[in-house]
Amino acid sequence: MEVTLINWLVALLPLAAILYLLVGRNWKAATAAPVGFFLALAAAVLVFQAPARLIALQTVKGVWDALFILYVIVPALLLYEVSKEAGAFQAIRRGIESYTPNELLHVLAIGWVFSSFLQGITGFGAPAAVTAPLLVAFGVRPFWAVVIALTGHTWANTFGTLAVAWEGLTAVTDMENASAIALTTGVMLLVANVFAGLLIAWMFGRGRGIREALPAVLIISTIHGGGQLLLAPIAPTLANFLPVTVALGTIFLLARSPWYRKDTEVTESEVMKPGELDDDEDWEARAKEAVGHEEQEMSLLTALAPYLVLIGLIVVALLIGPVNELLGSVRLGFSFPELQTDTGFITPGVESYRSFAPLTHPGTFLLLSALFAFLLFRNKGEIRPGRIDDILVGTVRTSIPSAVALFALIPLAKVMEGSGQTLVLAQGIAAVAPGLVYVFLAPVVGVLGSFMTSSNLSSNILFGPLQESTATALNISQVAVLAAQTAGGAIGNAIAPGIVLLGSGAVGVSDRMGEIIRINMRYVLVSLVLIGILAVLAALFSFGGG
Amino acid sequence: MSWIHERVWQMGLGALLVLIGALLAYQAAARESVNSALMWVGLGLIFFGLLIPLITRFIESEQEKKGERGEN
Repeated sequence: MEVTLINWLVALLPLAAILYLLVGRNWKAATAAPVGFFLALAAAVLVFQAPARLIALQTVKGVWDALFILYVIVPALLLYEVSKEAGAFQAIRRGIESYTPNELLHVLAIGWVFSSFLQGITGFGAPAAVTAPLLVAFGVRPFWAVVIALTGHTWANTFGTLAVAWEGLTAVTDMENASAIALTTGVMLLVANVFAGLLIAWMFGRGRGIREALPAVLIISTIHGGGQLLLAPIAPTLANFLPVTVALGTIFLLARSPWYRKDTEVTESEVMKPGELDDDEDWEARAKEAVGHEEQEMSLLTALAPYLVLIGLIVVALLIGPVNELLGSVRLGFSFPELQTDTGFITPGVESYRSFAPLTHPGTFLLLSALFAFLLFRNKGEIRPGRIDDILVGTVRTSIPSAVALFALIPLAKVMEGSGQTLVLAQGIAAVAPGLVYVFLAPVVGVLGSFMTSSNLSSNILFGPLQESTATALNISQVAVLAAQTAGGAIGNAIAPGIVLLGSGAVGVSDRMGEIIRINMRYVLVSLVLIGILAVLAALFSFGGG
Repeated sequence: MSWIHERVWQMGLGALLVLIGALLAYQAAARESVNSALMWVGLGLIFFGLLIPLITRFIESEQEKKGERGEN
């Protein structure tokens, strides 16, 4: 189909509408996304001449992809709810405090390492909602607790929650070289990761804070950022989870090191409260709500046990070849015929669309870990009898808005793709933007998607096909552009209104959302420039082989 | 059944309708000879399921406006 200004604007309309509703009118994703879906539908039928059968089957593909992803989100939430109910997060806090009095290390441990660990096991805003109150419990002022929590974990978005955002990107694009894209993404996120650690140290104590934190930042970054970089091309599901778990353990070793065995040298920190915690009762109740409370004191090992089980399951099922082959042989997939619009745009048929292997799916591991957690904590008296119903209902209840948003967003992306709208958007951009300029700006598109939807996953779903098509149209590196998309989508969560609201609401500073977003913009803008430069280098030198 | 009056559970119902609609639409449209009637039933369920969040939002905002008018 020929690209004209009219059909380009029509193709843009669903995305622009979602952006306007989310940011301009403050609608939630579960309400804004269906509007975008219906607009995409209307555009597909009226302008791009897509027949009903194409609409139906592309929508079905989108729903199937959404289920795939929900099967990670819901069990991850369940594990979080069970751990919260048992007070496991409080036990982790106590565990860290008992190792060192160094407040700078506390802030890095919770705001950067632990928040990244939470992102590794469950995204969904939990890193912000849990980490911010924990930081306040350590003496950080609520406003800065939110800023630090948001800055500290977003680098872990793409491969966190067992790589669900990465899986979303692979679901909506045809990656020529997935390993190269994963590797390039790992490089970009390593840079964002190091920058996050240094920035948090700077917030704590400016230059002195950075000097004192430097050994910890370099060691921890090497482990979790470097570990993610190494694992991403070969095992995306484990790429974040394993390294952040190791990094969390490393904190305890660092706490006993000569660098951090004693108090911090920073005498006056803007982020720390000078004396008592805030005495706002509402805020305290909300903070307690996010991290839960313990029925009786729990050991650190008990608190971490479910996550150790999760690691064990993943390692056995995914890393041991024969086991992986056996478990992966149980698969379910649906065939789809070739589809064509009346303008001649063709979507090829497929024998088994995105086949589902339940025994090697991350959702199954999370579900089993949640079950283990429940049995363990109930056995130890950490969960009161009869609470499981509330936990299950709470989990489902929290998942529903995400389910609705996904059931609209992914079908929207598939309908736009199948009717040729995404290609028209890409060709229009390619017609006006020189190749390398687009490559440099590609992460901005990722940030935009993340800002709109508060989700790296949704950003990848919305803009992954567009980025891919534009790269093809401009004859530039798909590796560079898709890596930039997901890296931008990851860091964009630091300013995403939904995530900011979660974190700020948990510590009673939601009226300062605008300030928080403005402060975090500096992290996002600097990271964008760095990622953009890396993307251009990747495109110029075909970094990663793509 | 008081839970059904809560917006989140209404959206949950919408999600369920989307799932059922997708199943019907696939059964109808993926085969060589398309069952148009069944396909449209499936699409209808999907569309209605995704309309529910919009409908409930509209109803909620109308109720808020009525409440404000009542106070004034």
